[in-house]
Amino acid sequence: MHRKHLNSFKIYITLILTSIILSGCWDVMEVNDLAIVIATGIDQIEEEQIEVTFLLYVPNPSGAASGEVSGSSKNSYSISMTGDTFSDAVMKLESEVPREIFWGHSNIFIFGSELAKNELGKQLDFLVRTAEPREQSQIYISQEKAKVEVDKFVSINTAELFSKLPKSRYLKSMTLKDIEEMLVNNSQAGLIPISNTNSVKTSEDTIDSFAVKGSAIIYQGKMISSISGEKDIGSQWLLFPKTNIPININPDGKNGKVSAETIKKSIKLSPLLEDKTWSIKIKINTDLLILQNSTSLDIYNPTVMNQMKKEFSKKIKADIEEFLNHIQKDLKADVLQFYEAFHRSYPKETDDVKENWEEQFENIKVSIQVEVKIKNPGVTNLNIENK
Amino acid sequence: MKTADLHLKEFIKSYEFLPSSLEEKTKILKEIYKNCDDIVLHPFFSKQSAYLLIFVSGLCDEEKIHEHIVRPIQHTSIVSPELPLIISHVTNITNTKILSNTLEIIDEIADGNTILFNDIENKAVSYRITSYEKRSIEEPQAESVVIGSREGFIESISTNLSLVRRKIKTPSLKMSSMVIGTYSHTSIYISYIEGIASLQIVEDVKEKLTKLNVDAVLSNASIEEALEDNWSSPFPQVQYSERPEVVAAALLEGRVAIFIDGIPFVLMVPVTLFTLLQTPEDYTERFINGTLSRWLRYFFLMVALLAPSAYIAILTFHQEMIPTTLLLRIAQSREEIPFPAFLEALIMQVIFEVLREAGIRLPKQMGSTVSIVGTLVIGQAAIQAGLVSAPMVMIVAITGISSFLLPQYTLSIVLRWIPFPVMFLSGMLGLVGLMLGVLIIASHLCSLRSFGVSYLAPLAPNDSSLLKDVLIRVPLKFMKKRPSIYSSINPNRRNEGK
Repeated sequence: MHRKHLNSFKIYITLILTSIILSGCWDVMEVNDLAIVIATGIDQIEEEQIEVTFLLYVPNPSGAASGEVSGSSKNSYSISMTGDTFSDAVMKLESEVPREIFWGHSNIFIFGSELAKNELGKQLDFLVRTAEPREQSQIYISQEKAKVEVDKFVSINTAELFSKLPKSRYLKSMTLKDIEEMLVNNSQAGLIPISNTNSVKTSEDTIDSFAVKGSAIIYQGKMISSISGEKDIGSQWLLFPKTNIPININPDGKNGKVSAETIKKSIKLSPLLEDKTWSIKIKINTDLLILQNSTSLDIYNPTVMNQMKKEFSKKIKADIEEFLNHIQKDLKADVLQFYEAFHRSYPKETDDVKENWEEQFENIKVSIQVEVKIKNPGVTNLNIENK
Repeated sequence: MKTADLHLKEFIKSYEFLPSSLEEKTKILKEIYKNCDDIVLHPFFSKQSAYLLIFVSGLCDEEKIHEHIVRPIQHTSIVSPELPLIISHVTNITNTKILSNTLEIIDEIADGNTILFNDIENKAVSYRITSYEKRSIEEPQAESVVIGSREGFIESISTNLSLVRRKIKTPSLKMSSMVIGTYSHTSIYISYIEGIASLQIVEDVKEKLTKLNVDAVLSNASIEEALEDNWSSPFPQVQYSERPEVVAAALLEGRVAIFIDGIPFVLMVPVTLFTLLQTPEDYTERFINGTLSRWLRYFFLMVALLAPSAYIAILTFHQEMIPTTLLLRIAQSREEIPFPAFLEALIMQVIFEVLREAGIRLPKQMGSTVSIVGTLVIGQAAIQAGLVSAPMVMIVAITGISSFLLPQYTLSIVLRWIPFPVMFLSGMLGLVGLMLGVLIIASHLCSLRSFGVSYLAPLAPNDSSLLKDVLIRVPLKFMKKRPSIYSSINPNRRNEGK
């Protein structure tokens, strides 16, 4: 009995001791030795020179001592580094900041539009190659210089804001993983939302906050176009299944507008290859919620309701067509990953046109079918104009 | 001392049977009880013959001796001094025994019985009129319940036996007695229900206790150690209860209860981890409440075991697992703390243990002072002094409170120190270390046996039919069978045919 216990005891001790020498386990990192990266901006300042701006969170000791835990502005610092590449700039930062650079909570990467136009793909490589940046972080392309935007975030509670970005039902967001998937495909085209700043007034002064305005089309590792307005809304229908989209229509011959919001939408691509004609059917199902009716129409009336449905689908279809025309005819960038859709159904035929997909893509016939359901025409029907 | 002791033993042995003459008996007894001034030898005479009474003062009701033994003998008209005649015709005490062996007589005296000798026989009568100071039955202190019986065991074994006998009235309830302790002669009762309990376990208990060779049984520890299968395990392998209904329920499940004289707790074997996690209230409350409080207990058992370790592991190795906003707050509160998270947790945990120990050792009136000083002053001051961070104080507090949720004190004291090695492992290896610790504990629990019953039964080995009283607490009408892990002799709880 004694001997048996002694043996199991020995086994435990050996287990513990051997686990210590397992490689990769001994990487203790105390929280107070970290410089937590919250946002990163990447710019091209001149030929072959990359400037990276980091928004770091370093706790403010004096703030903590007084027992005041604010977690906001006072502890955010922005710092810029230049280097030959993105990674070079990061390494320089590592050697200049006494703390360990911690990427685990880096929620947002903003690429300057200048850089995006020239070598976005080359710099994205660092993010997808190294293990530390998260695949779930959001990627944006800035309207102005990324440095300018990141610097502005010092004054707001950015960490909290950025952690909420992916959950937002209205702000478009693309994760690093989404973009990786888009660009790695044969179509080599993708779409990244464009970020901007908004001025927000507080009681004391004006500060800048984060905003999303329009999108950029990426093709072969470079930004080739920026879209906004109807084209952008069209892209949202096809590429951002989770965000809600506002729709305004102007029913024929009536004064005023009817505004609605999507509460649910689904999209289905069905490719068809017949007699060497490439065609694809995009079917969109959507549920709408009427937000405002400034016309004299009575939406509760079934005939009017049906008319509304038609009007809405027409509007949605128009927006999508606008976007499709732009990417198909003007840019020849297969942002919607049609290649993948065809490849799944007709692998052999698609492989044959792999080399000149650009040409093929331009000639694909797209038919759009929109099915609108008005889930909620509003709580009450006031119709002021009728009375 | 040893020679004197040997001398006494030799002496008693040489007089295996006492002589008939009262004079000689008195001489021998006086020699045996030399310097024992609490032993009363009282010679008295009836009209025809002489008698001798011997008893321990304080263990007998002296008034009763006078009333029911001495006076009837002195005033009787019966001439013969023969002991059977005196029992049946003169004295009026019912619980009597005729003894002849000297050793037996000595044991009877020690038990508080009154012994009567006459002048013509080498035998003696033992009258059971024991009466000594004892605590009255009070509400159990260590296992209090809101709804349920208020009776608790006391130090007197006869009272304890009667408390259980009153719950289970069948003659199948066996109480087999045993005397342990070379000097203490402590009486112990092994109790089980014949026809339910596994005879093998009963025999096993008897054998283990017979083998036990100790001077005295002053605490339950010597009995507990004798019953354990694995002495080196930190986990308790005996269940204690001071509530008769808990013991009765255990007996009805086919377990064996051990009563020890002088100890207000009854020991129960075999034991599984889940029996130690059950409270009597699980069964007095409605089944939904019983189930929920059981879940709460299981969850906080894990919290008590792992909360500080998980905090250390995540904070020092896996910061990406913490929500961003929370991490920033933790980072800010930890900014000025000079120690690594592991050391910080260790300091707080040790301080907490000190406070808990102090609270137990101090007199009751002072206990609250300690807790006020401990919680308010030390907790608050430690944060302000920058020794520990506020989240850590919270984690330690939650851990402490969680360990109080466990109904068996013996189990909750294990959980006071088991977290320390796990904390050490997770401080070194992060979540890998934490899992390693859990693995070690789990494999140890799996290997543990109590009288052949797996400690983790019925979870490991899995017996899904019994999980309804482990993972949940189903209404009693669905618990038709006794747990088969203890005994399979009589599996049905219901009287068949009804």
